[in-house]
Amino acid sequence: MRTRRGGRWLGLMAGLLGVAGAVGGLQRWSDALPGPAGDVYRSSAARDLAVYSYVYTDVGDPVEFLDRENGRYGSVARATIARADTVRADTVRAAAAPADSARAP
Amino acid sequence: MGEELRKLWRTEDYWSIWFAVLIFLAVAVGAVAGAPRLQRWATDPLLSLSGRTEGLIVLGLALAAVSTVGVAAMKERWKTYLAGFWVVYLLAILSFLVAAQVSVRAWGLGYAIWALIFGLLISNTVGTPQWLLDGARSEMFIKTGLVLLGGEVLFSEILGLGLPGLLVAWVVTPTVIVFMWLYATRVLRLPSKTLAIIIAAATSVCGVSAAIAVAAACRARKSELTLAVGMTMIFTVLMMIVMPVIARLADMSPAVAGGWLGGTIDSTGAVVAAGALLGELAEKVAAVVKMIQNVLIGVVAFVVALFWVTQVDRQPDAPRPGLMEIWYRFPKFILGFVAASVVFSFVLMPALGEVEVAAILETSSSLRGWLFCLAFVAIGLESNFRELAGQLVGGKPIILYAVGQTFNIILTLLMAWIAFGGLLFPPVT
Repeated sequence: MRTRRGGRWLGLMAGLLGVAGAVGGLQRWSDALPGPAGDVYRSSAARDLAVYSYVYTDVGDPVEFLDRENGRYGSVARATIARADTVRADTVRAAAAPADSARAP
Repeated sequence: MGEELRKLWRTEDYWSIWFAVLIFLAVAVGAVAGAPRLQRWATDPLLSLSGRTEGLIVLGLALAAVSTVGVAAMKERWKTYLAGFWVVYLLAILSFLVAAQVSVRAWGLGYAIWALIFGLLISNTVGTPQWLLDGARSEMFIKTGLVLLGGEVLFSEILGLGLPGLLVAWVVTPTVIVFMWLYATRVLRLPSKTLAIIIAAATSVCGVSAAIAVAAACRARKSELTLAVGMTMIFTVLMMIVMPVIARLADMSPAVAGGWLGGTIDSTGAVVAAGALLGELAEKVAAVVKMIQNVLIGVVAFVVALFWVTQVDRQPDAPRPGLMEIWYRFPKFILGFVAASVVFSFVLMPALGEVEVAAILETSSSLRGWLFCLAFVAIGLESNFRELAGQLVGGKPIILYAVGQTFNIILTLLMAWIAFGGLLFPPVT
């Protein structure tokens, strides 16, 4: 009975290791993939990271990004980018505020 | 009448609407400013959680608190639900974490497949204990997520997307659904009608979201949804690699190729990735066609729910059900879905403006993703491989998918050529 239960836990561990191995394998294998499948992978990864970096980090100019994307994304994405821009502007304003007050007489 | 009123706070269908209304209100008044999104990572998964831990804890607490109130109001075991919920939630975080890996994302293997895998791993190895099953309320998570999804289906957005895209998406989608339904029921004689309609919706509309909506509308079994989602994801990866190659070899114009890819590949991310390989115009047309197709989720779910109540579930010799009978049996969360879509499209959009509405939708869309992820973990925990294998019945679901998708590919190519090739409308440049 105990052996069977131990076997089940081993099965779960093996499954989780399998998932980890599959993700690691996918990463190594995809980077070296030739031909059209490699093209699809690299294009997809590059686009995903580009959008991600514009939306969720401080890289790039959102207005320029939106112009370039030319309506390719729905209103949700557009507003996300617009909001990221507002947050960025607020951060810049907040950073500039102490300097301004220090300059005031 | 009293019984119907009592259902307002005793059934999951209504609670899914109340949960969604609460979420929309909380987001609109600023009580909820956002939902955590895990960061991309390549080799170190812990990077994904960096700076997100607090948000994840708050989200878990909020979801647990709100849903437990509903479960208690439905007179179900809320204490064991609460215990089980946290395990389901941790598995959902794990699923999002794997899905945030750059290669996994690039191949379009989203959180749904990982959530199913983790759930299935547990249920088929150590087994799912009863207390965990109590927390795995897949129906409740799915229905709430679907009402939230309704808000994202903006009819007003379609107007700006152009007639050629409308023609491709809206002619092909219903035709393919009807074709696949007839093929499944009359030719293949697939034993499960619910499985047939889920595969048809996933193939013709937009993959996972459509499969979830239609499965809930026709009250399909969990294993049927699991099978349809698994098949869709595998074929999506294949199609996003092969179809751009064919378009290039056939020397298709970018606009026609974009319309073709957008109308056939099932997930929006995969559509954009495949379109990008053929240039900027192809990518834009592909994304637009996909957006128009996504709007059809609500319409398809509504029609399927109505068809099931009035036709499929009716005994052959029974009289046609009256309006009240249809009302009693109709899944109410579908009405919540449609109402959310109508309110956002025709009330909130003109009143608040695009930026304000989109800001609300940005957060509700993230929360919807979390709810769907919880649902897929729960489905995995409730399923077993034997049941899944039983659904395959001589490979008929795979044959249905393959035949339906082939028909979809050919018909969409024809419509893309008519709509974007300069035959009916001026060529898109």
